[in-house]
Order: sequence, then C-alpha cells, then structure tokens
Amino acid sequence: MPSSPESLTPAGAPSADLSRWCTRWNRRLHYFLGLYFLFFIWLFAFTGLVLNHSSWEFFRLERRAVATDRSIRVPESASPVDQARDVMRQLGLAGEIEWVATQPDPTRLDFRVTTPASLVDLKVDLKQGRVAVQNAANNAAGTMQLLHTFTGVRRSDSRNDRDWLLTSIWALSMDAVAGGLVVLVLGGLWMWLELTPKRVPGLIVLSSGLLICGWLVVGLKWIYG
Amino acid sequence: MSKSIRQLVADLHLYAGLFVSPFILVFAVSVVFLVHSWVPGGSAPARSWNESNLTLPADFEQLKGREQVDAAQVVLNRIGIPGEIWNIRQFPARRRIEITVNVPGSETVVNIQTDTKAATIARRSTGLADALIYLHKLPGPHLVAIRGNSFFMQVWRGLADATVYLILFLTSSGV
Repeated sequence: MPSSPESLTPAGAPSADLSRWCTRWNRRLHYFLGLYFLFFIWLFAFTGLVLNHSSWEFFRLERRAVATDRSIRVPESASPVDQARDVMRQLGLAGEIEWVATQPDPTRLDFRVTTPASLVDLKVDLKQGRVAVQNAANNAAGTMQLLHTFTGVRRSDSRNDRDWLLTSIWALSMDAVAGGLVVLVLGGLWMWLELTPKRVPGLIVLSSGLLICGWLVVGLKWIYG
Repeated sequence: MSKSIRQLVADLHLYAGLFVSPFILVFAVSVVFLVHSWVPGGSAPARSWNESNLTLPADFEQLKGREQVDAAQVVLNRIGIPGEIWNIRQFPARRRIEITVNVPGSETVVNIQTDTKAATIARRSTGLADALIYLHKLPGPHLVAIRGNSFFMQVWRGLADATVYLILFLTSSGV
C-alpha cells in the first residue's frame, strides 16, 4: 500500500499526521454529534420560538382539567415529602412534587405533581383522609413547551428540589444538549480556520455576531452602569 | 444536487454558523445555570441615589398596562435610566410607584413619590451569569402586553427568533 506524500516528509511528519487525524475526527464529531442531538436541538429551538410568541394560536398550550374527590389512608410519616409520596402512591401518580403554598395547617397537605404532560393539584385533608384532586392534562403543544422548561427547580424558590428520576434524566439531557452545542460551535470554528480562503470573510461575519451579542451581554451594562 | 448549489449551501452553512455561534453559546451556557438553579458570583450591593423635580405625566397614576409602561419609559429616559421595564407596582395610598428596570447584568428599582415628584433609585449589578439567564428567558411567554418596551429588547426578540431560524437552517443543511 503506498504511503501518502505527507507521511514521507522527514521533518514535522508526526505533527502533520496528528493535525490531519484531529481534523478528520473533528469533522466526524461535528457531523455525528449534530445528528445525535438533531431532534433535541429542533425541540428546544422550536419550543423556544413558540415560548417567545405566545399569541401563535396553532401551538397554544391548552389544559383539560378534571376534578375528583378521593378517600385515602392517612399517611403515617411526619415528613411532608414522605406524606406526599405516600398519597401519590395511593393515587397511582408519578411526577415532580412541587410545593406551591406554605402549609400553615398541620391537618392539611397541599401540593402539586407535575410532569410535562400534566399538572395535578392535590389538597389533602389529613384528618378526614380525603383528597381533592384537580388533574389538568396538557395538549401535545403544551407538553412540548413544558419540556423546554421542565427542570424541577427554580432559582427563586429554595423549597423545591428535583425528586423524580425522570426530571433528573431530563435535566441531564438538557446539560448534554448544551454541552453538545458548545462542542459543535468550537468544532465548527476549527473547521472554518482550516479553510484559508474563507478566513477573512468568516472573520467579518463572526465579528459582527460577536459585536451584537457582546453589546447585549456586557455592553448595555457597561454603557448604562 | 449540482456542485455549485452544494458549494453555496456549504458557504451559507459556514457563514450562518459563524454569525450565530455567539448566540448559541449564550443559550447553551445559560442552560447550565437554569437547569441547576445556580448562579456563580452572586449580586453586588445596591448603589442608591435620589432625583427630584421629576416631570411626570398628569395622569401617570391613572394609566394602566402598556400605556403606563410607555409613559414610565419617558420619565426614566429623562433621568437617564434606560432599559426594559420589568414591572410597575402602584401603592395609591402612599402615592408611590415602583418601577423595576433591567438591562442584562443590572437591575434598577425606581421608587417615584408622585406627590413630591421625587425618586429614590437603587441599582445593583447582577453579574454575567444573570445576564445570560435574563437573555435566555426573555422576551418569554409572560407579561406579553408590556414586554419589548425597550429598544434592546426589541432587537433581542428579533435576534432570538433569528437564532432559531438559523439553527433550523444549519441542522437541515448539515444533514
């Protein structure tokens, strides 16, 4: 098998080989990582667009609510989270527990169970062993939108934490997509730098993007204090 | 596909990708802060000062919604506080109006005493991570009637949309 001309170059051959190897793998990574994350990227991009245009009728979040009243066995645990889990188990519910109100009355337990597809409000009477259930099911458009924001935590709310395995998996997926996008961007920049004739026009385009983005991210604060 | 069209698509993929890459990084990096409800650094203490002899519209306290926001923008511009009005809270009994104004990385709370036409202003720096989160979440689905009341937010609304359209083009042309 004949060697390639570069491999016969006496000086700098290992580095040339390494550079070619990196270039080839970077190209593959850019392509296959893009393919792997394709549907995630489309989901987040499209739902991001919809969230910014809530007037778009064709993709509006709609909920269909059903209210029921059920009797339950009173949970024995003293911890509100364990009590909530017990009630959910009895009602066959799964999802992220969300504390929407403070619990001033020890005989009551009010909480919400959320999934991207539904939002269930539960008002438990711990004395009577009764629970009022308001189950609101989202339409497909609503489910997709909620996937965009479904993290199980809120910055301004320290009471709530991720407590459902699927939320943790989804949060990990969001991290992976974000990391994947960073790798795609960096790999793309590398490929551009290898295209010598495109360096100058590319630099102009990249600089204009950086300038506008920089104006928004740090420039406004710098200008206006 | 002919070679010239392939080359055109490849060039558009390259240049669109280069232009949009800083915006993609803004969204990608802020995801980590949003998903983990974590903001490094924390916010600095607020800097306060007073303004007096404000020129307020005659019906400033009676206005509602977008009209009030537009009137408030005029008042804020006169005292050199530009930015996106986040919300306006009214305390009629105390003749006080509280306006929260943001630019990415900074929050200013302006308390206007309408009877004395004086204002107390408190501004705090919220940091780079908060700026990224702010841009990621806005304009968003909430307070739609008043959102986009500043020039920069109107620009950002267009750029956020453009980022999505360019991402859809990049992924399609990449495939």
